[in-house]
Amino acid sequence: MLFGRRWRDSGRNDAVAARKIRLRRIFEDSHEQAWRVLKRLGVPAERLDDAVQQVFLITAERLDDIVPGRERAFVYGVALHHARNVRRRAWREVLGSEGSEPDQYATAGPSPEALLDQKQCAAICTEVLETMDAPLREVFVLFEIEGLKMHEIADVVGIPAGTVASRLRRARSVFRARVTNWGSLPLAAEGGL
Amino acid sequence: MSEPTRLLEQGATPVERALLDAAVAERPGPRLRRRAIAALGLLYVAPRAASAATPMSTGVAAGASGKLMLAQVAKWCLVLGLGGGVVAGWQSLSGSDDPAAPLPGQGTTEVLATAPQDEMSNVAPAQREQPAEDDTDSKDDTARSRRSPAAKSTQAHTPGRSPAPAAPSAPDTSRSVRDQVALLDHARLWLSRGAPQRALATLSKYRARYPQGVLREEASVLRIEALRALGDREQEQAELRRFSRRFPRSAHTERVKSGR
Repeated sequence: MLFGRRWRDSGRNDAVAARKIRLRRIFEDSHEQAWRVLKRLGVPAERLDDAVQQVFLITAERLDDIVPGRERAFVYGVALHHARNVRRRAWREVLGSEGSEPDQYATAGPSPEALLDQKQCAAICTEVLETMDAPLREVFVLFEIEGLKMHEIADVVGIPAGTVASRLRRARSVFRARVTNWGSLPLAAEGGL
Repeated sequence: MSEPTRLLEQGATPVERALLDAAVAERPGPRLRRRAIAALGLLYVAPRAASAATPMSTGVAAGASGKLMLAQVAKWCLVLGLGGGVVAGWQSLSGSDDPAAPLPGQGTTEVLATAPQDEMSNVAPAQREQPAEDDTDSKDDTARSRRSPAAKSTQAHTPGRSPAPAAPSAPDTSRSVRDQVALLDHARLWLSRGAPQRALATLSKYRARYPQGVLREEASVLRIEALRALGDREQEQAELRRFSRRFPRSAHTERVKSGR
């Protein structure tokens, strides 16, 4: 009886250990990507840590449902979904407090010379991306920054590959227009997309 | 459909390239990693064990599990060979009701290795730390033989059964975090075994020892879950309110409120 109990316990602990190994591996493999995606998709800096934690808590809860080999896509999917929720919530808060759409576009930024500073570049990139429509931004971030393939993006976002391609084309032209005008024109003056 | 070329590979202007390069190179700070690993209860899972395996698949996990099973078989052969006295010793150990006793099978589980020193030493020390002799000594004994040289050297500086020094040092911090994680692991184990009372006892112990512990948020979540499992709605709601007050922006809030 003693042996049986210990055997059962050890079996259960092996399963727990195997789950923990898998979760840790997923975390090590994709927490940076999740963080970047959340940041580029509009999660405010002060909520980023919690957002990443939330993404991996969900991953931990759904660990048994994740198809082997699709872990990274799963994490991207959760991050994307979470970023949408955060944006929606933030939008509602803004509407509730001000009763109008926020002036989301930044005024004239630093000159192109200032782009030498990498940190500043990253910040400018975030600001430029914030001027894009969310669907375009998601595809652009996943393709250009995260380096996902088209079919992977289609899978993560849940749209056909053709739509991914057309959104990417539009996103690129918007990105180029924003970058070209950056520092010379207040982006808000363009009236959005 | 052919895959388009990325802007970074072809066709980007220098400014576009600079922006995209910076975005690709951006990384989160180490604090995020530490916090998330602690919150997920993965402090004891050595990153090397997790990343040594190639592509992510459950096959790898199953392989690890198989290895652990072999280790279990070897252990039992040894136990049987040592005779009745040793068996009696095992029996007394396994019969222990102390939730703070080592987790069953922990001594043979490769992945529950000593947490890396860099992760441990960077976690803020808990206020009013006390050495948790009774909880960790047996675990330390089982883990001692597998420790890395670095871990051994830290252990040499760790106060054993002697009184704790006045000033907290890095190994003390490591030990404190290890203790905290161990206590929460025990609480989780009791919960998963359907013993919320014991889980609550363990969590009370945690609260008493580490009122400002780095895992107090996770401890509160477990307490709420334990009270829920116990069916004590009143206490659960009170704890939930306290949790919302203390951690208004916790990543766990949605989960504890929804009761998932």
